[in-house]
Amino acid sequence: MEMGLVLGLLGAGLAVLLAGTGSAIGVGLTGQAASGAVSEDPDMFAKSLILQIIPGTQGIYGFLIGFLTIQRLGFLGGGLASISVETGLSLLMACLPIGLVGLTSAIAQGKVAATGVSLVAKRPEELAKAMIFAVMVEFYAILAFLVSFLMLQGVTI
Amino acid sequence: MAVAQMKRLLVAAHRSEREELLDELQRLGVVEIQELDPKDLEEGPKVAKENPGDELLPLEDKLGEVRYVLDFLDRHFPPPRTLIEQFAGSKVPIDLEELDRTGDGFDYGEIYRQCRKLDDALTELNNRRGRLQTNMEQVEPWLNLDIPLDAPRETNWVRLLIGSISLRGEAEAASQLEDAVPESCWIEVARDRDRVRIVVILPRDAVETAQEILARYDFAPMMLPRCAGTAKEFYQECQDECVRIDEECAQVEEAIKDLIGYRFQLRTLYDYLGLARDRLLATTNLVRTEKACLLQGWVREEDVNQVINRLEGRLESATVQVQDPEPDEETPVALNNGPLSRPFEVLMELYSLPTRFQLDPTGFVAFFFGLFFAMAMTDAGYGIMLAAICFVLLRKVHMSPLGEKTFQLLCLGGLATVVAGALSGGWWGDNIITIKPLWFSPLDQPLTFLILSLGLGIIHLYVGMFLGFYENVKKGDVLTGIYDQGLWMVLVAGLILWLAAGEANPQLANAAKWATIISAVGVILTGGREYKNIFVRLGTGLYSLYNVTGYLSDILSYSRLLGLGMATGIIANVINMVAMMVFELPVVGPIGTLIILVGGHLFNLFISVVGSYVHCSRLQYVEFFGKFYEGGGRAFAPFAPETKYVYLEE
Repeated sequence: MEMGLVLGLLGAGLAVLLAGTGSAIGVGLTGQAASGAVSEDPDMFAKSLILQIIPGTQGIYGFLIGFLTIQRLGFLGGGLASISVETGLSLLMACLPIGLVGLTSAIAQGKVAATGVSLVAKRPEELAKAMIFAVMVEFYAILAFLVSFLMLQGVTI
Repeated sequence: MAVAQMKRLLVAAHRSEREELLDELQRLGVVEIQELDPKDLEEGPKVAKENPGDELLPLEDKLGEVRYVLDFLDRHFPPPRTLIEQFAGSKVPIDLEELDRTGDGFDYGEIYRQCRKLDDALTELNNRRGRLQTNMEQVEPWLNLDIPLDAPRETNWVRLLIGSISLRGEAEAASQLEDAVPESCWIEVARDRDRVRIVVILPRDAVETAQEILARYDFAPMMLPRCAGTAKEFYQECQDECVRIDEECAQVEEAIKDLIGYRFQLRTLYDYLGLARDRLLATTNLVRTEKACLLQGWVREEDVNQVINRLEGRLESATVQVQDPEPDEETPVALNNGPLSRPFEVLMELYSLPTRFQLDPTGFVAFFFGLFFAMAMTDAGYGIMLAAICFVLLRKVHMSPLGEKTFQLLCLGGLATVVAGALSGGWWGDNIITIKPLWFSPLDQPLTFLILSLGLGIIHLYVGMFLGFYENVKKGDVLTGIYDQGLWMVLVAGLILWLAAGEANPQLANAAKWATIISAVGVILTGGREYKNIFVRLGTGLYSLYNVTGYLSDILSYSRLLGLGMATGIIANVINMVAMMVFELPVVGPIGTLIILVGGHLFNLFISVVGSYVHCSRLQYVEFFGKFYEGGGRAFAPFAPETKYVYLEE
């Protein structure tokens, strides 16, 4: 296999791997807090679930970038593309923003969402505010996702 | 679009009609009762604070008892609740007549006593079961011991030692005992991971020697009740008893189940009693003389006639007086907006309401929030889904006023999104349903979309600055308006034109340059005008010019619309691509495609809506309100029926 192709695959892998790891940690943190809250009041389930979903989006962004990269490489039909080392490196670079920002922001967001669960456990009517705090973190993941996407579109194969 | 006019309401009535007065007010739900202090009243006959009297305590007791019954029933038979009900609550409509009938006529006393009895019975049964289980645990290792537990353990010549010994010391203990007391007999009953159960038969005179040896190896005598029958029989008895207890428990549960039918009446009664308690608690806000009582409150101007007619019509002794608030008096604040912008009041309520001296910006917020929300979603398909879901929920579920407004807001946002989606050609992404965009697609021309976002952002900021200017002029502070808003409007516009026009239009750029410089000098001269010292004043002015970076970062903040809008579209497209790939698979293909399409788009809709809602709120709160809005009004909180389980139907 050509070196360029390997570098492209490395990028796709990193996007999914890093962002996915971050989301797994974030969703896990929130899930622990949610179990505690539900043990006190089973009606907290729906509200906790909404907060638990929020740190999961980074993993999806990472997956999307990884998926699009694999598609550009030609693994999803149409034959493998012929890719130079420079192009492969460019694809790798394009995957890094969502990978790294996804990792850190999902963990930070998980912490905010977990404390959000305890906020909602004490004051069930304040779900909106708990969500606002968590989604503020999301913005940076969206920016990284967008830049990754634009970089990916910019690379010509 | 305004803050509602509030009137002060004074109601005097004979004390015998106090109950009815509060009852009517509670059902009307449009008057906020304000606490009156006898000390504030000028003078006159002996005035004292009204008190709820000795009715409150028995009422609280009753409430506690009904609460206990409801909790008891819920504990044993939790009421089924769907996810939507967990989220939005599940109140049941009821008419006034039924509420009163249940409240006055339903006697819960017998049910309460029965619940107590059943609760006690369950506790007793559980205690018995606990004791039996302890017994069973103790007897379990001895099941192989085939002598009756109450068999004599000593005769004239022989004695039995029954107990357990540690596994490690077993062999040594046995051999030492054999040496010391050759006549002894060692019988093993059972062994588990660390203990060996043994029976040792000894001549009576060797007991002490034997005990001494065994004690070295951690011998523990058997501690079982000395009942008739073998260990096995005893165990069996315990087991049978447990089965009987289970049966009795089932009978008790059955009896509890019979009471479930009363749940609705109990809930109604609970709310009825709660309303009565609220009325009694509200009486503490009134003052009284010997024969009369006086109530003070706030009411919206448009509700005044309704209140007067109702009170004077239904109460014999009530006299109502209406006053305007003092010119500089703070009143509670209610917003008064047209049907299209009313849902957006929820954004104001979450932030802070205006006082009655400020402008109510809800109309502007409604317009820009709707616009930005649509841009952050940019997908007609998602707009249709969102509007439809909200519409159905609003129809089917009874919500709190805040929840209702939120869903109305999202419904309107969904409709706006349909328009934005049609303009940008997004129908659940743009790779399955390909409808040509009426304007342009952000996925093809992200830069155009970015410029559009920033441009609308600048307009948004300018509206904010203009409102600030208007507020200052209204206060009669034209100069402040010119210094704090006018100069900045020129400065920011000049700077943008200067940078944007550049070489292309040198004349315009030149004009913009001079406008920028003049307004910047103006800012330096006026920015520190509260200081007397000329150097401090100029220094502060210079520093306030630094605020230019604040304006620029405000404008750049609108780039989030690009991020959110494109993310929605890209995710939708990838969901479609994955679904289409699954379609090729044999057998499971079409079903898999359907699941991925429905689940994926619903999920994307959810995260897009949450993201758009939050970020568009932020654009209002930080960027827009930062330019003019103070807030700090206290929300109008009318005395109204607050219930947990039922709500009154109109």
